[in-house]
Amino acid sequence: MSAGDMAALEQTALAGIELDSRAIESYHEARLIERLRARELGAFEDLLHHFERPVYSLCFRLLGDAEEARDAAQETFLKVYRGLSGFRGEAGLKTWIYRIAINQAMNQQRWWRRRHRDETVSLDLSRGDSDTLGNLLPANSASPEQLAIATEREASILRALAEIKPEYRITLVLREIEELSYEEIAKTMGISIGTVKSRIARGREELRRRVKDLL
Amino acid sequence: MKCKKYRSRASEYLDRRLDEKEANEYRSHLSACAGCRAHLSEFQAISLVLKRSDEPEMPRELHSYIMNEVDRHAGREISFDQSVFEWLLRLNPRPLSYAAGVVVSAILFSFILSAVKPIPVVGATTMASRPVEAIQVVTSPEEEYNAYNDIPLDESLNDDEHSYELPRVLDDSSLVSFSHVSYQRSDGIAVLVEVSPDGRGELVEVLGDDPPPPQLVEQLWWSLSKRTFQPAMVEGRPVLTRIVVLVEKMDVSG
Repeated sequence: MSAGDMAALEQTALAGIELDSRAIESYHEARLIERLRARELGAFEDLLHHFERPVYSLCFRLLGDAEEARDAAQETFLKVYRGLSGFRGEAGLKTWIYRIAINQAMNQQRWWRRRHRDETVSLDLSRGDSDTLGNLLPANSASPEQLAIATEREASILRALAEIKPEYRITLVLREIEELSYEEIAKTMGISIGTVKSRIARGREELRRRVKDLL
Repeated sequence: MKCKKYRSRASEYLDRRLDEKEANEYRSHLSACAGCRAHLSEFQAISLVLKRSDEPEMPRELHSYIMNEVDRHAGREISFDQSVFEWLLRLNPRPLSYAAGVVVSAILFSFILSAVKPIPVVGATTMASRPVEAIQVVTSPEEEYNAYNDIPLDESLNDDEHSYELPRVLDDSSLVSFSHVSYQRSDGIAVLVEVSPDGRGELVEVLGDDPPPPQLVEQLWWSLSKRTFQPAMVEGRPVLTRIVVLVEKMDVSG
């Protein structure tokens, strides 16, 4: 067997494993939805275990404030619980929950912004502790000066992310941080893939323009 | 112009969304254009920072809070009041406070309006008819009636009931003119008055004063001449009646 055949076989095997894992995931999700519809509290707890971190993280990235993110995450899961009877399963569970979280965060932000127009939202300063993302990155062999520059650069990027248009911010957070595919983003936000492409591109361009001098 | 076209593809190139042909074109442009290489590397640097950003620390109480809330919803039906309250909590507080202010103001305003009474119109029929409602008609059997009035009981008469209407001041009259008497007598005064069937009152005696001061007697005669009375009525006919008029001074200053 040639090296090329080996590589092709390996690729086929990997694709098979991926398909199997998707099938298992989808089977588990279907079972979970069934249990949720039967109002099993255990099922809801399973769902919460699975989604609480990503949902909180998403809300935090969109709102830039720990307390606001906590409120948005709480309200998201309560809405999920109340809305289970109306969930038809056409979109995946993750897509549905993310959609609720995004709507909740955006509504909350609109309300919040009306009251705090003059205040800027800072992602790194409002984390609730003194860590910036720079501090959390592996130190490797960087010198303290390099580390300080990297920290400042990262903080600036996150600040700029909080300042760009909400629709760009949402798509960038979903793509870059949550690592959703274009198709998943389109379903979550209820927009076309073409719009997703253009929002991601424009968001990146806007972000680059704002932090260009630091890169 | 070329660079603009390729830079618009940078985002899709980064996400591996370009087809093979477009990706090759883009790559060959990059090899010849330092500006577009820098542009892409800036995109990559931003993307890397965002991807490497750790998850924010989730509040510890979040899980238990959500489960408690869900448990509360699942365990029992929420009462109507509570669901209304929870619904109100979810509303934007500013318009809610405006609405509450309007409701409270409306309630207070209605209270103020309800306390305002119309000024009575003198001579209105409602005012004139009020004393008539106070007329007392006493009825009693003949046996009781004759004994009370010191009349011998006639055995031959039937035992029909007799009616007796109490004397009073007429509707269009008042006793205001007696008030000046009270200023002279701090302990009040009692006067026996005889009312004739035509309604005129005559002073019979000033009770308790013997002899009464002539000035007081004169004033009482004057007051009685200004008043008309309704004599007592027996079987619908006016009869000579004696009444006692009490004039008392009352302190109403509070």
